[in-house]
Amino acid sequence: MDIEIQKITAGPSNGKIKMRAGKSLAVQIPYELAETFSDTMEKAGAHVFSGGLLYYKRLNLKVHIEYLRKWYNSPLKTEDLIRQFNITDSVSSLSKLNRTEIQKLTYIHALLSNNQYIVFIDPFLNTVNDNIHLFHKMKEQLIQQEKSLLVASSRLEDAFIVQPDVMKLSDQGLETVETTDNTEDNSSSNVSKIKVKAHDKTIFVTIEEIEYLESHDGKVYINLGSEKFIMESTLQGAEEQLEAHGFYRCHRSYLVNLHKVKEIITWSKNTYSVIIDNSEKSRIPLSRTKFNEIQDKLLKL
Amino acid sequence: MNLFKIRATIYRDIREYFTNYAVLTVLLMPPIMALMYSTPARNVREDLPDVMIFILLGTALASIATNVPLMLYAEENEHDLLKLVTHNVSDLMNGIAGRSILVLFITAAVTVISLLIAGQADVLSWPLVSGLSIAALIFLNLGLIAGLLAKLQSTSTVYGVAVLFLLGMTPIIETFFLNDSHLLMKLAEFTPVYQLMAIHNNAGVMPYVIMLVWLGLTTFSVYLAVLKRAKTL
Repeated sequence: MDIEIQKITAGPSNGKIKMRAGKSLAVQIPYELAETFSDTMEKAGAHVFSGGLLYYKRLNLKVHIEYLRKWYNSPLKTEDLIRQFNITDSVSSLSKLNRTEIQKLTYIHALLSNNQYIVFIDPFLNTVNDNIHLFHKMKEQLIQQEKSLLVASSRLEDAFIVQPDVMKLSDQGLETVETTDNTEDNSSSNVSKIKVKAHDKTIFVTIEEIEYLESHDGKVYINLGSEKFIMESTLQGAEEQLEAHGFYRCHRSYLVNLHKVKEIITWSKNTYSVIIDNSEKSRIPLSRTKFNEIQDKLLKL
Repeated sequence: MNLFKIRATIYRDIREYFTNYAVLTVLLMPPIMALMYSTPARNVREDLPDVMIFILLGTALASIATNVPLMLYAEENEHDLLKLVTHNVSDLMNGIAGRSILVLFITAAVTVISLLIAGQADVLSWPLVSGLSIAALIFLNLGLIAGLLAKLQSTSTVYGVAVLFLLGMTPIIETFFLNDSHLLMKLAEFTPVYQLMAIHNNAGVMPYVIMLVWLGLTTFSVYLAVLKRAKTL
């Protein structure tokens, strides 16, 4: 199935999003395009799962699964799905269950759906790591069923949870997320603060408070707490400047403060995330090739 | 029509019947009414007046065939639940078919149970059964129209109660002792439950014709409601 990007962005691009059998796509979309994206995908015939959870509050998970199984005439067995998705309470009405538990129904629904094209929009907002593991389990099964999966995410780091190769949707069309190293040099120096821009102000940020830096759209963003600033440097430059302060290039687009790393999670064979020790438990992509090295660095920190 | 989807809808609705207190209350209304009406009559060893029997039949039709689908669709519309599996007109039609089959079956069962409780099961002649079948479809259509177009559960209750009082309990107007030429009496004579009374009194083919006109108009309205609802799926 090919979807014209122009229908989503109303921009000049003539490109298409190509959904193919047995393949998955991870796309970062601007937040404001999420609704148009969802409508366009639905009109094109895809089964779209967006953030809102739909369920009958008085019925339990078992009845929901059985209902969906019957509706789609799926050969999958309800009991197997309950076991596979670690559903511990399948008999209480859904009004008594928490969002995390109900979210599993969405993954099961995607497996039972008889639609060839499955689209998830921002599936990792307000979710827990256990459910991300289940999402990957679902993804593998969808691919095995020769279905086509597209995951659209408004946060770049969430798109990297799906798979290492990520696309970005903009007015200009669909582009592979720039993962090449920036080459501009910046001299390394032993400093405790760095200079960042916030609107018309220049702020000096204490380096040890920085959680991670990310690079996209040609800019480097510094994340600390709930704040995000633009740094007037390249990621390569920032890496050279901050390496001595315990920062590590865990991904071509991300530089993480190792002092702020809480854990590393393996989502699938090639997909890893570094979890930051903050209130949001931010998930930063970790390249497959850096998996062993970051562990050594963390041990020697 | 997709039999799997129809069967799935019936499966889910049966579970919903047993967990939704509003639906359970509506299902219990006709048998309780039958008990309340028939007990005083039994105490004085009198037969229940025909008017009461037809109020009972009208209540069974309006409370179940109209109100059950109306309540279920209103809740689904309010919480956007149809989108769970309904993505096009065909899905919507399959859902309507499954829901309607179950509603008609339950309407028939509750009607018979209510008549048995009232001790009036012998009122069911073949002509009346055929009239009741057409009337059940009319009341079902009224429930589907209001249900598909309802946005909130709270406002849908108003439609449900209006159908119950105006079309289900129409024969109650007889107790107002109005003149036959009174406008309300003239209007009442064209309502479905009055046609059932006419069939019971062997009034010929005209009651069937009037009911078929009702059926045609309400079916067309269901068609329009489906088209309108499908636009927002």
